[in-house]
Amino acid sequence: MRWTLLSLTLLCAIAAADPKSHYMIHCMGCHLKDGSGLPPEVPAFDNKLGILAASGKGREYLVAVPGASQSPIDDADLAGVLNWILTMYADQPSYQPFLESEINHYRHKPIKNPARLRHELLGATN
Amino acid sequence: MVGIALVPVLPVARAAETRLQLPEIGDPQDCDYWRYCAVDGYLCSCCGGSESKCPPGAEPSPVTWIGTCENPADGKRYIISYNDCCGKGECGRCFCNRNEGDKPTYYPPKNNDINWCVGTKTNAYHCSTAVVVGVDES
Repeated sequence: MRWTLLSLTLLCAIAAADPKSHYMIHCMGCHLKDGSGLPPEVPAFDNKLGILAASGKGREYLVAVPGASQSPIDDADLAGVLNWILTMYADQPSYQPFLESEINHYRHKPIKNPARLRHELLGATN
Repeated sequence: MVGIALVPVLPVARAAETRLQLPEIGDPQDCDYWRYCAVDGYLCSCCGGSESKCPPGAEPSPVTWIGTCENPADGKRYIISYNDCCGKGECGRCFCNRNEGDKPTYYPPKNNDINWCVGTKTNAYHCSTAVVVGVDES
């Protein structure tokens, strides 16, 4: 319960930035309105998000992947839209929400080969 | 106009638009029409389609670039999905090149000069639509 309340507090704190609008403007063009994407070039937003969000390396990938790290929004708004995506498309809502400080920490670490890293992180589930 | 490419339409996006009751001013066959503030291509409304639907025989690209435009009828900014219609040769009518919010080619997700016919049977570009998908609350 404590964690749920904390999560709600964090999500409410960023609600003013309207993460749904940021999703529509900065993500939906390729990942599509329903998050289905265009695999393999554009990964779908599905239960693999929960797997990635559960590990440090996976969280770094979610922030540093070009579509996220290079989006023209600040760290707080990127945290908001990533949390919104996880809430909307991941099948388990018990992930740890991204904070602005975590975004700032991972955002400036370029990924040389995002597809390869994704495969390494997800293995057979990719 | 060879080499320019341009703008995109999702079936889901069209469905979303039908739920928005938009106050409207302007002619969808005119490049100055408010939704076209970031379009770069031939207007589908002059090619047998409309500002939100592809002409018969053209396939809407699922992948698109997204911009925002201010509707002069209510002063609100709306999120516009510029889906390209693909699979036919260039329409050639009503070329319109406005670039509000457009970024350089090295920033592809926000560039309207590239061919957005991605995920379609062919990448042949025909014309561009401008589908309103939501209100910009960002």
